[in-house]
Amino acid sequence: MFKSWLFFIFCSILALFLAALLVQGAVTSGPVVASLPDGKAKQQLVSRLRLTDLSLCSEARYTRHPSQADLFSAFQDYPGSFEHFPTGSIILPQLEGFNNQLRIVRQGEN
Amino acid sequence: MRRLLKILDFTLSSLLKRKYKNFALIAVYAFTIAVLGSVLFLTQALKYEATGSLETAPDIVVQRIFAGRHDLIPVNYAETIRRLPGVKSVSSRVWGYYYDSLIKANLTFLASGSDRQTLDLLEGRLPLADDECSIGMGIQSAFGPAIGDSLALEDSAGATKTFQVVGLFRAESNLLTNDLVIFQEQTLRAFFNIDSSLATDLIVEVYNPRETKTLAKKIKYHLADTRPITRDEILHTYETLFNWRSGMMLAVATGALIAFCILAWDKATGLSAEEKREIGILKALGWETADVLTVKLWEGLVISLTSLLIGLIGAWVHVFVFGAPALTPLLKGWSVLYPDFAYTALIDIYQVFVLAMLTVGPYIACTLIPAWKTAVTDPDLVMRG
Amino acid sequence: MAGLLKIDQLTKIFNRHRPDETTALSDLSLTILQEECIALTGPSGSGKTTLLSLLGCMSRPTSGNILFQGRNISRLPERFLAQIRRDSFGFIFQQYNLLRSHTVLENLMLPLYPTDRQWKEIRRRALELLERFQLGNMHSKKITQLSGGEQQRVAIARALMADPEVIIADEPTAHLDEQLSAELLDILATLNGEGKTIIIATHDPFIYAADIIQRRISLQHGHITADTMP
Ligand SMILES: Nc1ncnc2c1ncn2[C@@H]1O[C@H](COP(=O)(O)OP(=O)(O)OP(=O)(O)O)[C@@H](O)[C@H]1O
Ligand SMILES: [Mg+2]
Repeated sequence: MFKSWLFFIFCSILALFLAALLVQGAVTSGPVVASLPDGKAKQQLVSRLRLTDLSLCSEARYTRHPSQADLFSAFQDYPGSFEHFPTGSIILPQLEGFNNQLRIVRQGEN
Repeated sequence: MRRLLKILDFTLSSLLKRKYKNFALIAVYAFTIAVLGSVLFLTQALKYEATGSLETAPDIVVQRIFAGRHDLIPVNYAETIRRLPGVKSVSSRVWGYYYDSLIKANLTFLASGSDRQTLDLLEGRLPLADDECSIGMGIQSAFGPAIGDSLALEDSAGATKTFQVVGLFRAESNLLTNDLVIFQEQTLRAFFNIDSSLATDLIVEVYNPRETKTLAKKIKYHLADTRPITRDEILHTYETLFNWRSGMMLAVATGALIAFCILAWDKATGLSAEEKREIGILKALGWETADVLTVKLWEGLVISLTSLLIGLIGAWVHVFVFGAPALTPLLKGWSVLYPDFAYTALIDIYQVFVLAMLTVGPYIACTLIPAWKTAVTDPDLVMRG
Repeated sequence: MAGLLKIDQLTKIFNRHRPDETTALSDLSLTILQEECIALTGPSGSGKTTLLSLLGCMSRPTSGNILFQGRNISRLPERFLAQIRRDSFGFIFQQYNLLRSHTVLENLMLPLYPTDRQWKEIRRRALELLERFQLGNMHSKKITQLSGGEQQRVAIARALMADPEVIIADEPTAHLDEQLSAELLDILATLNGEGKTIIIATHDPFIYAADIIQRRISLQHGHITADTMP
């Protein structure tokens, strides 16, 4: 029985520790800004400078400005390279705002 | 209850008999969970950071698409947009990239608005004169200028221009401002040689956020060669960028999951002769099938719970204490200016639960199922040795 | 003395409807009385082990019935069989069947783990039995560190943990020298004296010709060929 209790105590300690960590970072419902450090200041920065993206990966247009890049930018940033590995495989060009559709018009139709 | 505890005790001593094997197993398992957990923690932290700070991003950004590519937009498009009902204001934005071939870094040059106030996250101030600029921390750490020093840049005509650094963004804003150089709009136009009738894109503010979508549609209708991007779309981009099915999660998770499957497969492909004999003996001594399965259930639980707890704590320490050194190369790629910032712990507990279920569940199943097959057979096999 | 185990037209066929079908026991009927000490003999392959495992609820007959204390146990669900196996039968296997990497004490406590009995109580009982078999100082040794005779005694002690009514031994002397066999006989005699029913399957004349054996049953090809009371 000794071993069982030892195991329970061990697990409880780890679980409590983990729970303490998780709760500390838990994002509950409500505005996320509240849980961001300097949340208000960051929002001020974004609205003043009219920013649209995180400056996370600066190697290609579609990774530096994922929300602004067009679908072709993945193929044109660096001659001879059509992909920026590994970021290019993590951040894909976004499809938002592109909704033209190619349509086939058969002979005789209009 | 007493029965369960005694069986747990037996399980623990069985596991301890094969100390090295089981500790190695826990180590591999915990490592796998730590990898998955790190990705989860990191992407969630980034996602919340992005969606939290970009909540104040422009209502609509209007780009011009020319030959399928993003192109400069005529400023007079603003007139057409301004006339649409519900539009509060339209302003033009000028920005572009600058490549430094020496350290091979891409900088983002951005024109500040007409706003002259200071910012909380800016040390110093925004540029007020033609030969001034404000820079992000990434540029400072790559090139080393302090406030008062100047950047010498080559403009579109090949002439060298110097700009005095009058502002430096604080480290807390790194994720937004790392590679930024802010100029006055006129300065940047001259530098890039952008005609005053053109802009990089237009920023539209609306009165009623609920009309944003309709307005975006109207803009597209009236100006067919534009691409309006709403704030919701920007936020959505970051939601999908860092969600479960996104590239980041997928890229790392596939590797980790394969490792996990190998682990589970090893279990599922059956019991060793020794383990089968043990089950036979237990049954011959009067253990029910349920008791034998309880042993296996405990075994799976002990291993997976220990690994899960250790793995998640490890992931936490890796991401939020050390700043995810094992994952940043993935995000960094070959960009030179990578924001050096401490991730804030922002976690969706629900997803942590899902991760726990997805790793603990299959593992326990993998320990139970092969044992179940052996446990239901008659125990008289052990009589024949 | 009352009939403790009653076997009625018992048949056991292995691998039924397959090319390697084997009839191990056919149409066997037998009554075993309380406190009897029985030797089961017969050539190799005659069905001794098969009969013992059926008696001890370790497998089920193909047809026929086994009544234990008047209760038909041949069709009971697995759960009850396990319980009867644990509470009423003590097995001494030819290969001892001890968990090799566990300690002597753990091995002894094993049969009583899945019960509601208290840990302390089980431990006390195990230590008592070890004392009785002169193994008192070995309780924390691993099985692999014991001699063959010591292992044998641990196996016997384990069979007695739940204080069963019937002791079933399959070739218990196969690995033992004369002296250890004699020791085993002494132990079995004592247990028989305490009122336990004992069934031993053996080839060993040293056992089946011993004084304590009250009844000798010979098997051949799954049939009883002789049932004598020497
Ligand atoms: N699991 C099994 N599958 C198929 N046949 C079996 C099985 N177990 C036993 N047999 C067959 O049943 C017959 C009786 O076997 P059993 O083990 O009862 O003999 P035994 O009298 O104990 O022999 P021995 O003295 O050699 O131990 C043998 O012919 C054996 O081949
Ligand atoms: Mg046999």
